[in-house]
Amino acid sequence: MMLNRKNKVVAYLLVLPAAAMLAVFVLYPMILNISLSFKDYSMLRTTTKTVGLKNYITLLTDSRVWQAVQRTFVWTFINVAGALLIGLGAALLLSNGFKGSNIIKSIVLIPWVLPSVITGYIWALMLQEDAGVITYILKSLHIVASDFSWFRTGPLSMASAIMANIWRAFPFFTLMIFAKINTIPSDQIEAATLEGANSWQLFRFVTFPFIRPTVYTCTYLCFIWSFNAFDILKVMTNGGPAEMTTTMSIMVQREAFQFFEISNASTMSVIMFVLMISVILLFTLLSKLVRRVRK
Amino acid sequence: MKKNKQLSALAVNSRRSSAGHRAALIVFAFFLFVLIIFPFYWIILSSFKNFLEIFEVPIRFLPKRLDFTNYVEVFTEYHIGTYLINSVVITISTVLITTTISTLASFSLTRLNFKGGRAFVKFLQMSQMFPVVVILVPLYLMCTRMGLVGTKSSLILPYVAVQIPVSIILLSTYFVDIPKEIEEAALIDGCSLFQMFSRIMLPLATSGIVAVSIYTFIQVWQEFLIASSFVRKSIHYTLTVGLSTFKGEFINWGGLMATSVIIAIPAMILFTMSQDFFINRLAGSVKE
Repeated sequence: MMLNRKNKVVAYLLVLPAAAMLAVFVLYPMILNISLSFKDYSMLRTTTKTVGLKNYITLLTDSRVWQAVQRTFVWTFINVAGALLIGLGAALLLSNGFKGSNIIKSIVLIPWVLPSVITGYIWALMLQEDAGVITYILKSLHIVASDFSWFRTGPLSMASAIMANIWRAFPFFTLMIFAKINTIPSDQIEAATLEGANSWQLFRFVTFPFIRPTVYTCTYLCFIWSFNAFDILKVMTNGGPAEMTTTMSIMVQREAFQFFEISNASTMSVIMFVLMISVILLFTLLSKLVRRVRK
Repeated sequence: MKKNKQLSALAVNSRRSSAGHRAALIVFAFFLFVLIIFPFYWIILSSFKNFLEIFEVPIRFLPKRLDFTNYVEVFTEYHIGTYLINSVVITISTVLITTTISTLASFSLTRLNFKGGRAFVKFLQMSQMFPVVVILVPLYLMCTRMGLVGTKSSLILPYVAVQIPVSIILLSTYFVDIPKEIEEAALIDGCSLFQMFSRIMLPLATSGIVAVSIYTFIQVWQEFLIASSFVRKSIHYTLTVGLSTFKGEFINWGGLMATSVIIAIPAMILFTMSQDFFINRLAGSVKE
Protein backbone atom coordinates (compact mmCIF):
# COMPACT_ATOMS: atom_id res chain seq x y z
CA MET A 1 0.00 0.00 0.00
CA MET A 2 1.29 3.46 -0.86
CA LEU A 3 1.59 5.68 2.13
CA ASN A 4 1.47 9.40 2.56
CA ARG A 5 3.75 11.07 5.05
CA LYS A 6 1.40 10.92 8.00
CA ASN A 7 0.65 7.24 7.45
CA LYS A 8 4.33 6.46 7.19
CA VAL A 9 4.76 7.65 10.75
CA VAL A 10 1.80 5.46 11.74
CA ALA A 11 3.47 2.43 10.17
CA TYR A 12 6.48 2.90 12.42
CA LEU A 13 4.35 3.65 15.46
CA LEU A 14 2.52 0.33 15.04
CA VAL A 15 5.78 -1.63 15.14
CA LEU A 16 7.22 0.44 17.96
CA PRO A 17 5.74 -1.45 20.95
CA ALA A 18 7.02 -4.77 19.62
CA ALA A 19 10.43 -3.34 18.81
CA ALA A 20 10.67 -1.66 22.22
CA MET A 21 9.75 -4.83 24.12
CA LEU A 22 12.36 -6.82 22.20
CA ALA A 23 15.01 -4.16 22.64
CA VAL A 24 14.48 -3.88 26.41
CA PHE A 25 13.81 -7.52 27.31
CA VAL A 26 15.84 -9.46 24.75
CA LEU A 27 18.57 -7.34 23.15
CA TYR A 28 19.60 -5.34 26.21
CA PRO A 29 19.80 -8.43 28.49
CA MET A 30 21.95 -10.13 25.87
CA ILE A 31 24.41 -7.25 25.92
CA LEU A 32 24.23 -7.00 29.70
CA ASN A 33 24.97 -10.73 29.87
CA ILE A 34 28.17 -10.34 27.87
CA SER A 35 29.29 -7.39 29.98
CA LEU A 36 28.56 -9.34 33.19
CA SER A 37 30.79 -12.16 31.95
CA PHE A 38 33.76 -9.78 32.11
CA LYS A 39 32.98 -8.73 35.66
CA ASP A 40 33.29 -10.23 39.08
CA TYR A 41 29.71 -10.00 40.27
CA SER A 42 28.09 -12.06 42.94
CA MET A 43 24.89 -11.40 44.83
CA LEU A 44 26.71 -12.48 47.98
CA ARG A 45 29.19 -9.62 47.74
CA THR A 46 28.58 -5.91 47.33
CA THR A 47 31.59 -4.95 45.22
CA THR A 48 31.78 -5.40 41.48
CA LYS A 49 34.95 -5.07 39.49
CA THR A 50 35.97 -5.70 35.93
CA VAL A 51 38.19 -8.74 35.63
CA GLY A 52 38.61 -9.18 31.88
CA LEU A 53 38.81 -12.76 30.71
CA LYS A 54 39.32 -14.21 34.18
CA ASN A 55 35.85 -15.79 34.37
CA TYR A 56 36.34 -17.50 31.03
CA ILE A 57 39.76 -18.83 32.02
CA THR A 58 38.48 -20.13 35.36
CA LEU A 59 35.51 -21.87 33.79
CA LEU A 60 37.30 -23.27 30.77
CA THR A 61 39.98 -24.83 32.98
CA ASP A 62 37.37 -26.41 35.23
CA SER A 63 36.81 -30.07 34.38
CA ARG A 64 33.22 -29.93 35.69
CA VAL A 65 32.38 -27.38 33.02
CA TRP A 66 33.90 -29.55 30.31
CA GLN A 67 31.94 -32.54 31.53
CA ALA A 68 28.75 -30.47 31.37
CA VAL A 69 29.61 -29.42 27.81
CA GLN A 70 30.20 -33.05 26.89
CA ARG A 71 26.92 -34.15 28.49
CA THR A 72 25.03 -31.40 26.71
CA PHE A 73 26.29 -32.67 23.37
CA VAL A 74 25.54 -36.32 24.19
CA TRP A 75 22.07 -35.35 25.42
CA THR A 76 21.39 -33.19 22.35
CA PHE A 77 22.71 -35.70 19.82
CA ILE A 78 20.74 -38.69 21.13
CA ASN A 79 17.59 -36.61 21.48
CA VAL A 80 17.74 -35.19 17.97
CA ALA A 81 18.65 -38.53 16.40
CA GLY A 82 15.95 -40.39 18.34
CA ALA A 83 13.21 -37.85 17.67
CA LEU A 84 14.17 -37.70 14.00
CA LEU A 85 14.13 -41.48 13.53
CA ILE A 86 10.89 -42.11 15.41
CA GLY A 87 9.25 -39.00 13.97
CA LEU A 88 10.20 -39.87 10.40
CA GLY A 89 9.16 -43.50 10.88
CA ALA A 90 5.79 -42.47 12.27
CA ALA A 91 5.23 -40.00 9.42
CA LEU A 92 5.98 -42.68 6.81
CA LEU A 93 3.72 -45.10 8.63
CA LEU A 94 0.84 -42.60 8.67
CA SER A 95 1.34 -41.81 4.99
CA ASN A 96 0.23 -45.37 4.18
CA GLY A 97 -3.30 -44.22 4.94
CA PHE A 98 -4.49 -47.36 6.73
CA LYS A 99 -7.61 -47.61 8.84
CA GLY A 100 -7.10 -45.72 12.06
CA SER A 101 -4.33 -43.50 10.73
CA ASN A 102 -6.68 -40.56 11.14
CA ILE A 103 -7.03 -41.27 14.85
CA ILE A 104 -3.28 -41.33 15.28
CA LYS A 105 -2.92 -38.18 13.22
CA SER A 106 -5.27 -36.28 15.50
CA ILE A 107 -3.57 -37.41 18.70
CA VAL A 108 0.04 -37.32 17.57
CA LEU A 109 0.64 -33.71 18.59
CA ILE A 110 -0.74 -34.20 22.09
CA PRO A 111 2.63 -35.07 23.71
CA TRP A 112 3.93 -31.83 22.28
CA VAL A 113 1.09 -29.84 23.84
CA LEU A 114 1.36 -31.45 27.28
CA PRO A 115 3.39 -29.09 29.51
CA SER A 116 6.98 -30.36 29.56
CA VAL A 117 7.18 -30.35 33.35
CA ILE A 118 4.31 -32.85 33.45
CA THR A 119 6.11 -34.97 30.85
CA GLY A 120 9.07 -35.08 33.21
CA TYR A 121 6.99 -36.10 36.22
CA ILE A 122 4.94 -38.79 34.47
CA TRP A 123 8.05 -40.44 33.04
CA ALA A 124 9.70 -40.25 36.45
CA LEU A 125 6.66 -42.02 37.89
CA MET A 126 6.53 -44.65 35.13
CA LEU A 127 10.25 -45.36 35.56
CA GLN A 128 10.12 -45.32 39.35
CA GLU A 129 12.16 -48.07 40.97
CA ASP A 130 9.56 -50.35 42.60
CA ALA A 131 6.15 -49.38 41.35
CA GLY A 132 6.95 -47.58 38.12
CA VAL A 133 4.91 -49.32 35.46
CA ILE A 134 7.71 -49.58 32.89
CA THR A 135 10.25 -50.83 35.42
CA TYR A 136 7.61 -53.21 36.77
CA ILE A 137 6.93 -54.74 33.35
CA LEU A 138 10.64 -55.06 32.59
CA LYS A 139 11.18 -56.76 35.95
CA SER A 140 8.23 -59.14 35.52
CA LEU A 141 9.57 -60.21 32.13
CA HIS A 142 13.02 -60.65 33.73
CA ILE A 143 14.56 -58.28 31.23
CA VAL A 144 16.21 -56.39 34.06
CA ALA A 145 17.34 -57.58 37.48
CA SER A 146 14.93 -57.23 40.41
CA ASP A 147 17.04 -54.54 42.09
CA PHE A 148 17.28 -52.48 38.90
CA SER A 149 16.83 -48.72 39.17
CA TRP A 150 16.85 -46.06 36.45
CA PHE A 151 18.03 -43.28 38.70
CA ARG A 152 21.06 -44.79 40.46
CA THR A 153 23.68 -44.36 37.72
CA GLY A 154 24.46 -41.45 35.42
CA PRO A 155 23.97 -43.11 32.03
CA LEU A 156 20.62 -44.68 33.01
CA SER A 157 19.35 -41.42 34.49
CA MET A 158 20.35 -39.67 31.31
CA ALA A 159 18.60 -42.39 29.30
CA SER A 160 15.39 -41.90 31.30
CA ALA A 161 15.34 -38.16 30.70
CA ILE A 162 16.14 -38.73 27.02
CA MET A 163 13.20 -41.13 26.65
CA ALA A 164 10.87 -38.50 28.10
CA ASN A 165 12.30 -35.79 25.89
CA ILE A 166 12.10 -37.86 22.70
CA TRP A 167 8.50 -38.75 23.52
CA ARG A 168 7.80 -35.03 23.66
CA ALA A 169 9.82 -34.04 20.60
CA PHE A 170 9.07 -36.71 17.97
CA PRO A 171 5.43 -35.67 17.25
CA PHE A 172 6.70 -32.38 15.87
CA PHE A 173 8.81 -34.23 13.29
CA THR A 174 5.92 -36.56 12.48
CA LEU A 175 3.45 -33.79 11.84
CA MET A 176 5.78 -31.57 9.80
CA ILE A 177 7.13 -34.44 7.68
CA PHE A 178 3.67 -35.94 7.20
CA ALA A 179 2.33 -32.58 6.00
CA LYS A 180 5.17 -32.44 3.49
CA ILE A 181 4.72 -36.04 2.27
CA ASN A 182 1.11 -35.17 1.46
CA THR A 183 2.29 -32.61 -1.06
CA ILE A 184 4.44 -35.01 -3.11
CA PRO A 185 3.06 -34.86 -6.68
CA SER A 186 1.19 -38.12 -7.31
CA ASP A 187 2.65 -38.55 -10.81
CA GLN A 188 6.13 -38.90 -9.34
CA ILE A 189 4.99 -41.76 -7.14
CA GLU A 190 3.01 -43.37 -9.93
CA ALA A 191 5.95 -43.14 -12.33
CA ALA A 192 8.31 -44.68 -9.80
CA THR A 193 5.85 -47.46 -8.96
CA LEU A 194 5.25 -48.21 -12.64
CA GLU A 195 8.96 -48.57 -13.18
CA GLY A 196 8.96 -51.17 -10.44
CA ALA A 197 10.54 -49.25 -7.59
CA ASN A 198 10.25 -51.09 -4.28
CA SER A 199 9.35 -49.30 -1.05
CA TRP A 200 12.97 -48.57 -0.16
CA GLN A 201 13.76 -47.18 -3.61
CA LEU A 202 10.56 -45.15 -3.53
CA PHE A 203 11.66 -43.66 -0.22
CA ARG A 204 15.29 -43.16 -1.23
CA PHE A 205 14.74 -41.56 -4.63
CA VAL A 206 11.28 -39.96 -4.49
CA THR A 207 10.05 -39.34 -0.96
CA PHE A 208 13.27 -38.43 0.81
CA PRO A 209 14.60 -35.87 -1.70
CA PHE A 210 11.20 -34.20 -1.53
CA ILE A 211 10.96 -34.01 2.26
CA ARG A 212 14.65 -33.28 2.84
CA PRO A 213 14.21 -29.51 3.45
CA THR A 214 11.51 -30.20 6.06
CA VAL A 215 13.70 -32.81 7.74
CA TYR A 216 16.56 -30.29 7.89
CA THR A 217 14.37 -27.55 9.33
CA CYS A 218 12.88 -29.81 11.99
CA THR A 219 16.29 -31.17 12.92
CA TYR A 220 17.59 -27.63 13.26
CA LEU A 221 14.70 -26.62 15.52
CA CYS A 222 14.98 -29.79 17.57
CA PHE A 223 18.71 -29.17 17.98
CA ILE A 224 18.07 -25.71 19.42
CA TRP A 225 15.33 -26.97 21.75
CA SER A 226 17.33 -29.95 23.01
CA PHE A 227 20.54 -27.99 23.43
CA ASN A 228 18.79 -25.51 25.72
CA ALA A 229 16.39 -28.00 27.33
CA PHE A 230 15.85 -27.49 31.03
CA ASP A 231 12.40 -28.54 32.28
CA ILE A 232 12.51 -32.32 31.88
CA LEU A 233 16.05 -32.74 33.22
CA LYS A 234 15.36 -30.44 36.16
CA VAL A 235 12.22 -32.34 37.11
CA MET A 236 13.47 -35.89 36.52
CA THR A 237 17.06 -35.87 37.73
CA ASN A 238 17.87 -32.31 38.82
CA GLY A 239 21.33 -32.89 37.38
CA GLY A 240 21.99 -35.94 39.57
CA PRO A 241 23.08 -38.49 40.58
CA ALA A 242 26.42 -36.91 41.46
CA GLU A 243 26.18 -34.28 38.69
CA MET A 244 26.04 -37.04 36.07
CA THR A 245 23.15 -35.44 34.18
CA THR A 246 24.10 -31.80 34.68
CA THR A 247 23.94 -30.14 31.29
CA MET A 248 24.91 -26.53 30.64
CA SER A 249 21.43 -25.08 31.10
CA ILE A 250 21.02 -26.87 34.44
CA MET A 251 24.44 -25.53 35.47
CA VAL A 252 23.68 -21.93 34.42
CA GLN A 253 20.39 -21.90 36.29
CA ARG A 254 21.94 -23.40 39.41
CA GLU A 255 24.96 -21.08 39.50
CA ALA A 256 22.66 -18.07 39.25
CA PHE A 257 19.65 -19.00 41.34
CA GLN A 258 21.05 -21.37 43.96
CA PHE A 259 24.62 -20.15 44.40
CA PHE A 260 24.01 -16.53 43.27
CA GLU A 261 27.28 -16.56 41.33
CA ILE A 262 25.98 -14.18 38.70
CA SER A 263 29.22 -13.77 36.74
CA ASN A 264 29.82 -17.50 36.55
CA ALA A 265 26.31 -18.06 35.24
CA SER A 266 26.60 -15.27 32.69
CA THR A 267 29.95 -16.48 31.45
CA MET A 268 28.68 -20.03 31.13
CA SER A 269 25.60 -18.93 29.24
CA VAL A 270 27.77 -16.95 26.83
CA ILE A 271 29.96 -20.03 26.28
CA MET A 272 26.80 -22.06 25.74
CA PHE A 273 25.45 -19.61 23.21
CA VAL A 274 28.73 -19.46 21.30
CA LEU A 275 28.87 -23.27 21.16
CA MET A 276 25.29 -23.45 19.88
CA ILE A 277 25.89 -20.87 17.16
CA SER A 278 29.17 -22.60 16.17
CA VAL A 279 27.41 -25.92 15.67
CA ILE A 280 24.70 -24.27 13.57
CA LEU A 281 27.29 -22.44 11.44
CA LEU A 282 29.36 -25.58 11.04
CA PHE A 283 26.35 -27.53 9.78
CA THR A 284 25.26 -24.74 7.43
CA LEU A 285 28.77 -24.68 5.96
CA LEU A 286 28.93 -28.46 5.68
CA SER A 287 25.56 -28.73 3.96
CA LYS A 288 26.58 -26.00 1.50
CA LEU A 289 29.81 -27.85 0.82
CA VAL A 290 27.99 -31.14 0.27
CA ARG A 291 25.59 -29.45 -2.14
CA ARG A 292 28.48 -27.96 -4.11
CA VAL A 293 30.31 -31.30 -4.31
CA ARG A 294 27.12 -32.99 -5.58
CA LYS A 295 26.80 -30.47 -8.37
CA MET B 1 -9.54 -32.90 -4.20
CA LYS B 2 -5.95 -32.76 -5.26
CA LYS B 3 -4.88 -33.92 -1.85
CA ASN B 4 -7.16 -36.94 -2.04
CA LYS B 5 -5.61 -37.97 -5.29
CA GLN B 6 -2.14 -37.80 -3.81
CA LEU B 7 -3.17 -39.74 -0.78
CA SER B 8 -4.79 -42.41 -2.89
CA ALA B 9 -1.61 -42.73 -4.92
CA LEU B 10 0.20 -43.58 -1.72
CA ALA B 11 -2.64 -45.85 -0.69
CA VAL B 12 -2.51 -47.70 -4.01
CA ASN B 13 1.11 -48.29 -3.33
CA SER B 14 0.34 -49.82 0.02
CA ARG B 15 -2.54 -51.88 -1.33
CA ARG B 16 -0.17 -53.67 -3.62
CA SER B 17 2.00 -54.71 -0.77
CA SER B 18 1.76 -58.14 0.77
CA ALA B 19 -0.36 -59.25 3.70
CA GLY B 20 2.76 -59.57 5.84
CA HIS B 21 3.63 -56.00 5.11
CA ARG B 22 0.13 -54.92 6.15
CA ALA B 23 0.31 -56.90 9.37
CA ALA B 24 3.61 -55.22 10.18
CA LEU B 25 1.99 -51.84 9.51
CA ILE B 26 -0.83 -52.58 11.94
CA VAL B 27 1.61 -53.72 14.61
CA PHE B 28 3.71 -50.56 14.25
CA ALA B 29 0.59 -48.38 14.23
CA PHE B 30 -0.68 -50.04 17.38
CA PHE B 31 2.70 -49.58 19.04
CA LEU B 32 2.71 -45.90 18.05
CA PHE B 33 -0.80 -45.45 19.41
CA VAL B 34 0.14 -46.99 22.76
CA LEU B 35 3.36 -44.96 22.90
CA ILE B 36 1.43 -41.71 22.48
CA ILE B 37 -1.56 -42.48 24.67
CA PHE B 38 -0.20 -44.58 27.52
CA PRO B 39 1.53 -41.83 29.55
CA PHE B 40 -1.71 -39.80 29.43
CA TYR B 41 -3.68 -42.75 30.61
CA TRP B 42 -1.18 -43.26 33.39
CA ILE B 43 -1.45 -39.64 34.56
CA ILE B 44 -5.23 -39.93 34.81
CA LEU B 45 -5.15 -43.39 36.39
CA SER B 46 -2.57 -42.33 38.99
CA SER B 47 -4.59 -39.25 39.88
CA PHE B 48 -7.30 -41.59 41.22
CA LYS B 49 -4.92 -43.63 43.33
CA ASN B 50 -4.17 -42.98 46.98
CA PHE B 51 -0.69 -43.07 48.44
CA LEU B 52 -0.70 -46.84 49.04
CA GLU B 53 -2.27 -47.75 45.71
CA ILE B 54 0.47 -45.90 43.80
CA PHE B 55 3.02 -48.32 45.21
CA GLU B 56 0.82 -51.39 45.08
CA VAL B 57 2.43 -54.42 43.44
CA PRO B 58 1.25 -56.16 41.26
CA ILE B 59 0.28 -53.01 39.43
CA ARG B 60 -3.36 -52.43 38.52
CA PHE B 61 -3.93 -51.24 34.97
CA LEU B 62 -7.56 -50.30 35.56
CA PRO B 63 -8.95 -47.97 38.20
CA LYS B 64 -10.50 -49.65 41.24
CA ARG B 65 -12.90 -46.75 41.68
CA LEU B 66 -13.11 -43.12 40.63
CA ASP B 67 -11.71 -41.57 43.77
CA PHE B 68 -11.56 -37.77 43.57
CA THR B 69 -9.87 -37.38 46.97
CA ASN B 70 -6.62 -36.21 45.37
CA TYR B 71 -8.44 -33.53 43.41
CA VAL B 72 -10.03 -32.19 46.58
CA GLU B 73 -6.83 -32.46 48.62
CA VAL B 74 -4.68 -30.45 46.23
CA PHE B 75 -6.95 -27.49 47.00
CA THR B 76 -7.44 -28.11 50.72
CA GLU B 77 -4.07 -29.53 51.84
CA TYR B 78 -1.91 -27.85 49.21
CA HIS B 79 -2.23 -24.39 47.68
CA ILE B 80 -3.07 -25.30 44.12
CA GLY B 81 -5.94 -22.78 44.13
CA THR B 82 -3.49 -19.91 44.68
CA TYR B 83 -1.13 -21.18 41.99
CA LEU B 84 -4.04 -21.65 39.63
CA ILE B 85 -5.10 -18.02 40.06
CA ASN B 86 -1.49 -16.86 39.61
CA SER B 87 -1.13 -18.90 36.42
CA VAL B 88 -4.44 -17.73 35.00
CA VAL B 89 -3.71 -14.04 35.69
CA ILE B 90 -0.16 -14.24 34.32
CA THR B 91 -1.07 -16.27 31.24
CA ILE B 92 -4.14 -14.22 30.28
CA SER B 93 -2.29 -10.92 30.77
CA THR B 94 0.61 -12.15 28.66
CA VAL B 95 -1.70 -13.39 25.91
CA LEU B 96 -3.66 -10.12 25.78
CA ILE B 97 -0.57 -7.90 25.72
CA THR B 98 1.35 -10.10 23.27
CA THR B 99 -1.57 -10.43 20.87
CA THR B 100 -2.34 -6.70 20.89
CA ILE B 101 1.26 -5.69 20.27
CA SER B 102 1.77 -8.40 17.64
CA THR B 103 -1.45 -7.69 15.76
CA LEU B 104 -0.52 -4.03 15.34
CA ALA B 105 3.01 -4.94 14.30
CA SER B 106 2.04 -7.65 11.83
CA PHE B 107 -0.60 -5.41 10.24
CA SER B 108 2.05 -2.78 9.70
CA LEU B 109 4.68 -5.26 8.51
CA THR B 110 2.45 -7.02 5.99
CA ARG B 111 0.21 -4.20 4.77
CA LEU B 112 2.21 -0.99 4.98
CA ASN B 113 5.48 -1.24 3.13
CA PHE B 114 7.89 0.85 5.09
CA LYS B 115 11.64 1.15 5.14
CA GLY B 116 13.29 -1.29 7.49
CA GLY B 117 10.30 -3.62 7.64
CA ARG B 118 12.14 -6.47 5.95
CA ALA B 119 15.11 -6.12 8.26
CA PHE B 120 12.78 -6.21 11.24
CA VAL B 121 11.19 -9.44 10.02
CA LYS B 122 14.67 -10.97 9.66
CA PHE B 123 15.45 -9.87 13.20
CA LEU B 124 12.20 -11.47 14.41
CA GLN B 125 13.03 -14.76 12.72
CA MET B 126 16.39 -14.77 14.44
CA SER B 127 15.12 -13.83 17.89
CA GLN B 128 12.42 -16.50 17.58
CA MET B 129 15.19 -19.08 17.96
CA PHE B 130 16.83 -17.23 20.81
CA PRO B 131 17.32 -19.44 23.89
CA VAL B 132 15.89 -18.01 27.11
CA VAL B 133 18.77 -19.46 29.19
CA VAL B 134 21.09 -16.88 27.68
CA ILE B 135 19.10 -13.90 28.97
CA LEU B 136 17.85 -15.48 32.19
CA VAL B 137 20.45 -13.96 34.52
CA PRO B 138 20.41 -10.36 33.21
CA LEU B 139 16.60 -10.41 33.12
CA TYR B 140 16.55 -11.28 36.78
CA LEU B 141 18.98 -8.47 37.60
CA MET B 142 16.82 -6.04 35.64
CA CYS B 143 13.74 -7.16 37.53
CA THR B 144 15.60 -6.70 40.83
CA ARG B 145 16.66 -3.18 39.87
CA MET B 146 13.17 -2.25 38.76
CA GLY B 147 11.79 -3.67 42.01
CA LEU B 148 9.66 -6.19 40.17
CA VAL B 149 10.82 -9.34 41.96
CA GLY B 150 7.86 -11.04 43.59
CA THR B 151 5.35 -9.30 41.32
CA LYS B 152 3.51 -10.86 38.42
CA SER B 153 5.11 -8.30 36.10
CA SER B 154 8.50 -9.94 36.63
CA LEU B 155 7.10 -12.90 34.69
CA ILE B 156 4.65 -11.17 32.36
CA LEU B 157 7.17 -8.74 30.84
CA PRO B 158 9.78 -11.37 29.88
CA TYR B 159 7.01 -13.70 28.63
CA VAL B 160 5.60 -11.00 26.37
CA ALA B 161 9.04 -10.23 24.94
CA VAL B 162 9.82 -13.91 24.36
CA GLN B 163 6.45 -14.60 22.69
CA ILE B 164 6.29 -11.52 20.44
CA PRO B 165 8.53 -12.79 17.58
CA VAL B 166 6.64 -16.08 17.04
CA SER B 167 3.32 -14.34 17.47
CA ILE B 168 4.11 -11.71 14.81
CA ILE B 169 5.44 -14.30 12.38
CA LEU B 170 2.35 -16.51 12.75
CA LEU B 171 -0.09 -13.58 12.60
CA SER B 172 1.59 -12.25 9.48
CA THR B 173 0.65 -15.44 7.63
CA TYR B 174 -3.01 -14.50 8.18
CA PHE B 175 -2.66 -10.83 7.22
CA VAL B 176 -0.78 -11.75 4.05
CA ASP B 177 -3.71 -13.95 3.00
CA ILE B 178 -6.15 -11.02 2.86
CA PRO B 179 -6.47 -10.04 -0.82
CA LYS B 180 -5.06 -6.69 -1.90
CA GLU B 181 -8.30 -5.86 -3.77
CA ILE B 182 -10.23 -5.61 -0.52
CA GLU B 183 -7.72 -3.13 0.82
CA GLU B 184 -7.78 -1.08 -2.40
CA ALA B 185 -11.57 -1.05 -2.51
CA ALA B 186 -11.65 0.24 1.05
CA LEU B 187 -9.24 3.03 0.24
CA ILE B 188 -11.23 4.05 -2.84
CA ASP B 189 -14.33 4.20 -0.67
CA GLY B 190 -12.48 6.72 1.45
CA CYS B 191 -11.55 4.60 4.46
CA SER B 192 -8.86 6.04 6.67
CA LEU B 193 -5.97 3.83 7.70
CA PHE B 194 -7.56 3.30 11.09
CA GLN B 195 -10.93 2.40 9.60
CA MET B 196 -9.31 -0.02 7.19
CA PHE B 197 -7.54 -1.72 10.08
CA SER B 198 -10.46 -1.88 12.50
CA ARG B 199 -13.37 -2.48 10.10
CA ILE B 200 -11.76 -4.61 7.41
CA MET B 201 -8.49 -6.20 8.47
CA LEU B 202 -9.35 -7.10 12.06
CA PRO B 203 -12.61 -8.93 11.26
CA LEU B 204 -10.92 -10.83 8.42
CA ALA B 205 -8.00 -11.86 10.60
CA THR B 206 -10.05 -12.79 13.67
CA SER B 207 -9.73 -16.55 13.28
CA GLY B 208 -5.97 -16.14 12.97
CA ILE B 209 -5.74 -13.86 15.96
CA VAL B 210 -7.67 -16.37 18.07
CA ALA B 211 -5.49 -19.27 16.91
CA VAL B 212 -2.24 -17.43 17.59
CA SER B 213 -3.54 -16.36 21.02
CA ILE B 214 -4.19 -20.00 21.79
CA TYR B 215 -0.66 -20.89 20.70
CA THR B 216 0.73 -18.19 23.00
CA PHE B 217 -1.51 -19.39 25.83
CA ILE B 218 -0.23 -22.96 25.55
CA GLN B 219 3.39 -21.77 25.52
CA VAL B 220 3.06 -19.45 28.52
CA TRP B 221 0.80 -21.78 30.52
CA GLN B 222 3.58 -24.39 30.68
CA GLU B 223 6.56 -22.06 31.15
CA PHE B 224 8.89 -23.34 33.84
CA LEU B 225 12.45 -22.01 33.46
CA ILE B 226 11.75 -18.32 34.12
CA ALA B 227 9.00 -18.98 36.66
CA SER B 228 11.05 -21.45 38.70
CA SER B 229 14.06 -19.11 38.69
CA PHE B 230 12.42 -15.76 39.44
CA VAL B 231 9.72 -16.70 41.92
CA ARG B 232 10.99 -16.94 45.48
CA LYS B 233 7.92 -17.07 47.75
CA SER B 234 5.51 -19.95 47.43
CA ILE B 235 2.42 -17.69 47.36
CA HIS B 236 3.69 -16.40 43.99
CA TYR B 237 4.19 -19.85 42.43
CA THR B 238 2.62 -20.65 39.10
CA LEU B 239 1.12 -24.11 38.54
CA THR B 240 4.18 -25.65 36.91
CA VAL B 241 6.40 -24.46 39.76
CA GLY B 242 3.76 -25.44 42.32
CA LEU B 243 4.07 -29.09 41.28
CA SER B 244 7.33 -29.20 43.23
CA THR B 245 5.38 -28.69 46.49
CA PHE B 246 4.28 -32.33 46.24
CA LYS B 247 7.87 -33.36 46.77
CA GLY B 248 8.59 -33.76 50.42
CA GLU B 249 10.28 -36.61 52.17
CA PHE B 250 8.09 -38.73 49.91
CA ILE B 251 6.53 -37.62 46.67
CA ASN B 252 2.73 -37.36 46.81
CA TRP B 253 2.27 -38.82 43.35
CA GLY B 254 -1.51 -38.89 43.49
CA GLY B 255 -1.75 -35.18 44.20
CA LEU B 256 0.95 -34.42 41.67
CA MET B 257 -0.91 -36.30 38.95
CA ALA B 258 -4.28 -34.77 39.88
CA THR B 259 -2.70 -31.34 39.55
CA SER B 260 -1.12 -32.39 36.25
CA VAL B 261 -4.58 -33.23 34.96
CA ILE B 262 -5.81 -29.81 36.11
CA ILE B 263 -2.89 -28.12 34.31
CA ALA B 264 -3.27 -30.19 31.15
CA ILE B 265 -7.01 -29.72 30.68
CA PRO B 266 -7.02 -26.06 29.51
CA ALA B 267 -4.10 -26.69 27.16
CA MET B 268 -5.76 -29.79 25.70
CA ILE B 269 -9.16 -28.13 25.23
CA LEU B 270 -7.64 -25.11 23.51
CA PHE B 271 -5.46 -27.34 21.38
CA THR B 272 -8.41 -29.44 20.24
CA MET B 273 -10.35 -26.28 19.40
CA SER B 274 -7.60 -25.06 17.11
CA GLN B 275 -6.20 -28.29 15.73
CA ASP B 276 -6.52 -27.05 12.19
CA PHE B 277 -4.19 -24.18 13.04
CA PHE B 278 -1.62 -26.45 14.60
CA ILE B 279 -1.65 -28.89 11.74
CA ASN B 280 -1.82 -26.50 8.79
CA ARG B 281 -0.50 -23.09 9.82
CA LEU B 282 2.30 -24.18 12.08
CA ALA B 283 3.55 -26.65 9.49
CA GLY B 284 3.33 -23.98 6.83
CA SER B 285 5.09 -21.25 8.74
CA VAL B 286 8.08 -23.34 9.71
CA LYS B 287 10.32 -21.89 7.08
CA GLU B 288 12.68 -23.93 5.02
